[in-house]
Amino acid sequence: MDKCINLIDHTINSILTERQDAFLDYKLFDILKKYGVSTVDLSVNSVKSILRPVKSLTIRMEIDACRIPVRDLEQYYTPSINAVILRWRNGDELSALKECLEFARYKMKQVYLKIINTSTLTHGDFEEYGILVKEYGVSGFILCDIESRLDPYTVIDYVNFAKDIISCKIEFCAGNGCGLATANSLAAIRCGIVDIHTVVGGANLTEGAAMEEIILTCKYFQMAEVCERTPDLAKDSRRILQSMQLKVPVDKAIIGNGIFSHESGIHVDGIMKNPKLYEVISPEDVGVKRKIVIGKHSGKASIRMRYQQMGLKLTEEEVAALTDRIKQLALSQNASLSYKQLIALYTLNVNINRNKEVDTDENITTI
Amino acid sequence: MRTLQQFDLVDTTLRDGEQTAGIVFSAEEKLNIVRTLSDMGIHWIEAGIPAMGEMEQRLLKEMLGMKLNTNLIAWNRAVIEDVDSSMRCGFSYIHVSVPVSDFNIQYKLKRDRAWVLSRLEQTLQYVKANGGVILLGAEDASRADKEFFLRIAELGYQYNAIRIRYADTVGCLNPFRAKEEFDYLVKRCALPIEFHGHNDFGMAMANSVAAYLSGIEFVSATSTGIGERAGNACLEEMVNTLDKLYGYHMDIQTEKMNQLTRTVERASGRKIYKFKPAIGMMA
Repeated sequence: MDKCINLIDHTINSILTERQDAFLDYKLFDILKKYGVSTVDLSVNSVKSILRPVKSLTIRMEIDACRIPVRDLEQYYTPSINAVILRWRNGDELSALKECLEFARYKMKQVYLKIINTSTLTHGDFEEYGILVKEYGVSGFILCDIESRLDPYTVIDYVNFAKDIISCKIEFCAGNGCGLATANSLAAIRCGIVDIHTVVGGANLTEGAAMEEIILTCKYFQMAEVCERTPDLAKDSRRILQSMQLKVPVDKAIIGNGIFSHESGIHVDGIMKNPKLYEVISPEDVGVKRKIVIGKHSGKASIRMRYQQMGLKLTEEEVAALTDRIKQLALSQNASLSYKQLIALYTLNVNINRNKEVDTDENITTI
Repeated sequence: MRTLQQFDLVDTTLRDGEQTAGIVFSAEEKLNIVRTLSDMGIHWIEAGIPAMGEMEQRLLKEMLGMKLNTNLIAWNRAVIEDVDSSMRCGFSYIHVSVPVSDFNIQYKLKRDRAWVLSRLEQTLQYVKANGGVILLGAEDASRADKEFFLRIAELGYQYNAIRIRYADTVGCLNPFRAKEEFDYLVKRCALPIEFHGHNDFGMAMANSVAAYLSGIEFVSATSTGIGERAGNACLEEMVNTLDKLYGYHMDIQTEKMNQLTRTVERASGRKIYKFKPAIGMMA
């Protein structure tokens, strides 16, 4: 893998937009840096919360070139900002954009142009923007799809068009309204784009693909390198999302707490034979534990193994008796069984004949 | 734009969805879900696994007696006893599933391809002899030899199977490989294909889109995307995305679909993520 991806973050902006209390934990920047984030994009409202420069991260302020009068551009600018992004909807009167670019190039260190409705761009539009990019010394051109109108195959067309015509660096910022943000970003990466907009946990439906998905897919499909090590990815993502009072769903791809939980007899049997039968990545790759859940779908093998983990060896007859009771209990309570319930079932159905001392403290349920 | 005759959805909320670790639907919830799916306009529903036992069979019989405007499918391993349970319930549509990747055949079954073909043939013979309509399932197809997948389809064709499921069992496909693979298979497969995607890399939707664009005729999904590990392709998201991007408009009653989402959210005990496309609070 010779390609190295720079992640451009939208999580901090989402946190500041969500909280609106102007408090920001600067440690979050260090966490993001660990995963290959090089740049943080912030709206004009969020940027006020960045009171000091952030070491080794580029902070860019995004401003709506249609709505903010050009003369006001300067008032938002603070020393912590390294660059400005002019957010532009293709189709609006270009003279307003030219006015902004004219002003910005004298006042700002670096100016980026972000087209938020990439799917509307024609070849002619690309040529027009290509001229503006050269004329005003634009540092980067951001293809953005806030309305989620692109699929991975159309992304390839748009990126290739842009590469042919636009002379500056090109970035890609996917929308996730149709659930295609990760795939669309991978399409851009396949076309050679290395600056990819992301948001932890996909916590923004209009700008950025889920950071964790980009990291792991690039690695698994050997498309590019993002960061070397990810054993704390799930934990770090949880911490970041907590800042938005967001809980990571148990089944969230890559970082969900339940993505290595197995219950059905077929799956548990497979996992015991070879985890790769049902797991495409390893739990230790992302820092999530593998769990055997005992419930309605559990087979005899998993029940035997789960009790074995608890230090209790069962005979075939005992397993058969417990399997029926476990299924009945799971159905009656509409949920899988807790450790304590498994102990109680053992005590009532098996240990009554054995009188073995049972450890009632829950151990880690991993295999 | 494709029409309903060329593309349709298969719902597997009650089978693969309920198979999720920790999720158990009550009988009442299942009956409610199947009724809503039918009312909203889903034509194919994988209702459950009769081989799971008598309680499941009683419930599935009740479902079959509901006079729904849909086709109910029973999921089976390629095991005669499993198929028998399904037939006894009264199912006509019998899904017969076999692992097709060498990795699965070697490590899970500890057999070889010849054994899989022979076991499958015996099962298909049995289903056909008993008047069942066969739907084939190829587990772990995304890690299998394409030619073996096609061989399985040919075998199914001999027994009048009506389609074959290509299961991306561990969610390891990406939309670029998927498109290439589906383009190849669609031209050569003896049966219509159904794509079944998992979301381990967050690409179940993208791979389903690849299937749609390659001319695959069926895609399976679950309401709210519940399923093993990171879940399956999400039914609501699929309806939304195909309509928005390709103008493929299913005759789905939106009100009923919203009702389904809320029912499955409640029954699964899994609160829908705020940023879930199509159904999250921010969508």
